[in-house]
Amino acid sequence: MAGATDVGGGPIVGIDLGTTHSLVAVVEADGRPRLLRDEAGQALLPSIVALDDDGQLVVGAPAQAILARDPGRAAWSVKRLMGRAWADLKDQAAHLGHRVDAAASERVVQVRLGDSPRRYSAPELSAALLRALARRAEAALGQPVARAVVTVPAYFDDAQRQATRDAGRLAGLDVLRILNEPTAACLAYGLEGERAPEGTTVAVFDLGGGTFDVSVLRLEAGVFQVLATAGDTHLGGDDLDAALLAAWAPRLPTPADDLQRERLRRQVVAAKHALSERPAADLAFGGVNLTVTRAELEAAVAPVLARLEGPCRRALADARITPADLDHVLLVGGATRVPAVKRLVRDLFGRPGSDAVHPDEAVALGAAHQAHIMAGGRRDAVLLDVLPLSLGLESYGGGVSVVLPRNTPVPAIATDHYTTFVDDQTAVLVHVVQGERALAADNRSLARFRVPIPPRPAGATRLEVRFVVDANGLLSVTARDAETGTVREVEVKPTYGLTSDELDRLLADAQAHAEADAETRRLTEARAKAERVLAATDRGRASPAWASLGEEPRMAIEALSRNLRRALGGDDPDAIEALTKTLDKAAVPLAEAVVTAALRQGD
Amino acid sequence: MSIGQDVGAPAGAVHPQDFFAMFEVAPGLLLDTEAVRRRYLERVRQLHPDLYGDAGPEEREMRLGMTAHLNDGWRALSRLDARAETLVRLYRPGEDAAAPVPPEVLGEAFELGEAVDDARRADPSARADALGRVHQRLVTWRAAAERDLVDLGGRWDALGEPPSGAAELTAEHRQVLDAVRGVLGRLKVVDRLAREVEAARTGEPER
Repeated sequence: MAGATDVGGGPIVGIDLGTTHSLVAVVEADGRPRLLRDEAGQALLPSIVALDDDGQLVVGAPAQAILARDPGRAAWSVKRLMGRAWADLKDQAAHLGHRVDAAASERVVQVRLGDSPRRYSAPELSAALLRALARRAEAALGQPVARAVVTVPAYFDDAQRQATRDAGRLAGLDVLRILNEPTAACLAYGLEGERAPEGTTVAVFDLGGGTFDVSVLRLEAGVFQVLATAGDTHLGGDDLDAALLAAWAPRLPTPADDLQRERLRRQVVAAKHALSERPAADLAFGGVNLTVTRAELEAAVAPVLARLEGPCRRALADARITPADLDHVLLVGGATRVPAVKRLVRDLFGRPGSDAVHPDEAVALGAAHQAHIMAGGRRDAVLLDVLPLSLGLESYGGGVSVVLPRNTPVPAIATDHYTTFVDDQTAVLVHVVQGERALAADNRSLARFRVPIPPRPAGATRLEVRFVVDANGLLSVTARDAETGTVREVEVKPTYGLTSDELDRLLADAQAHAEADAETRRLTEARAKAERVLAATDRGRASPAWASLGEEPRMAIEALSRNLRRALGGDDPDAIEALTKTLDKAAVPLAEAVVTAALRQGD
Repeated sequence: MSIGQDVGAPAGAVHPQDFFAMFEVAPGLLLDTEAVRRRYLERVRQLHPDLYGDAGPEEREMRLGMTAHLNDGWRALSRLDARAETLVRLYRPGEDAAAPVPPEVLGEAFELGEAVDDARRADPSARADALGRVHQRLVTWRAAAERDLVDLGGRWDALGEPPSGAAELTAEHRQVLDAVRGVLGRLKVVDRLAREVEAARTGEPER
């Protein structure tokens, strides 16, 4: 079963790993996607990771509870830390709220949780979320889940995408595809309706908790062709919250500690949500009751909303279209519920945003569709995405030589040739950067490597550098000395992210944990089953039917019950399982007697 | 030790890609772009590695390469300016697709560059106005260049398909190609200035 996503190798699930919440979905046998819910019926898993009293990482609602009572032990908006080092975050650390260990964060941000001496990287924290979603999917599908399509903001750079893939690996998931969120939402839109909207041009405006994307797509002949994408990976609902906090906090008592600060933040968020529905709302904190209005909210968030305009204009310009060419504007992400955001969309695109897709669910549903496509479940739709940010090499003098410009369709392969500037150079330093800035130093540094060359006069060496960007938007680079013809393929050493050694160590850790987890789960299940059998036996012993049994079976049942109760005090699942089985078998005559007595009573 | 100049592929080592043949259209500037798009999308649907999730790594690698190549073809033909460059590269391999611009164009470009630099030093609202004026000038400039390309495309088509091989181009064909190279030179200047305007808008330092 488990739908058509199950074609050899087990099911492939679609995961929306969000800044504020995460979801998992799968396409059913009938070709329709379904969100998978937890035991409480919730589809949204709060993207919060915390350290519980036993020193274990917990996620979702339990982590949210820890955040409310002991904020220092919880991490939220982890997505903003993905693929980042301390140097990238310094200026916004204050409002991120995380306890980032600056000294340990040269390559990867390391977060402190509570008093634990252990530091957690963003991929590890995200892996905890992914693991919980995979487990939820396993429970829903009744089989192991080892493969997934995971979504990221379209504007994520290579380091952020790699970090997401690393998180998947740490969670024991083979990430078959890193899928761009607006593209996923558009896929859900295009494949959900009664008929595919043929030959239409769609803009997706995706304002999530921490990131902003705008993509322009053309839907034609079953191909979802992204024409252009733009965005800001540090702009989202969190920034609206921070702006509101800055505006309203001065009118309220100063929070005394982390706990109070977190409480105030939640009150502000609640007021923001209320103001999407009503023109005024109450904001109570520290004994003061403040009435805040939508007009105040809009004044406070105006500087944040102003930052949305540039990417929208650039996406349209890069797609070489005008707003009049658009057939639909899809709104995705929780922050698009804010009326001022809706108005901005209407002003920029000349038409109101459509609510054709569910702003919180479309991305996960689209990811499930892509998983379905990759599993061979359907052949009538395919995505053609683009590279969000230009890729290039640092050139002489610190400039950038662009190899693949932004909005190049992927997959893409480019081969460029470079020469040397200095006589008798014995090596060439290749520095791969990503971004739109003129100077290499202002862009994201992805990798540095040396290519050894024989000493020759300046300009005599011809170095061939090959960039391959796959459909995930992930880059690999090789270089060779084209003059001698000797292939000197050099493995790219990423400047950012977990090193392969770190990843291996964490994987070994995760493996040990997974085994321990499996053991714990087995024990829990064995205990639950034992309790059920014991309860049934006790009911039988309390019934009139008990007396009708012979002395031997009665003594056997009593002895086995005692032994099982004793085994329940320990933590050996084997003993519990064996005793449960024996008791269950021994209690068959009792169960029969109970049924017979009940039938007789009914006569 | 850092990397030197981008020198392009060694002359003669790489054959120019005939992207026109890829999409079964005659080389030129005025193509049936809808037909090109249809063929492009049709082939993407045949080749894209996502549709072969169960294929082995080698087949997926091959499909990635083929789809990347198709994407190159689409980039080369979908826009008029790119198409012009593709046409020049097909018949003038190893040559710079953009010709050096005449002095009067350079002079005007220099003035616009100065205007951008002045705008950088102005206060925000004056800067936006000044950059808006430069931007408008560039839009007009680009539109004129594209009109020229359309005219040249018409002339090229009227000459009929050129005989195969660069050496056998007729004098008329060569003349049109030279004019196309001139327009591409102008467009290169426009693109560079447009990037400067964008950088000035976001407050980046001068190059």
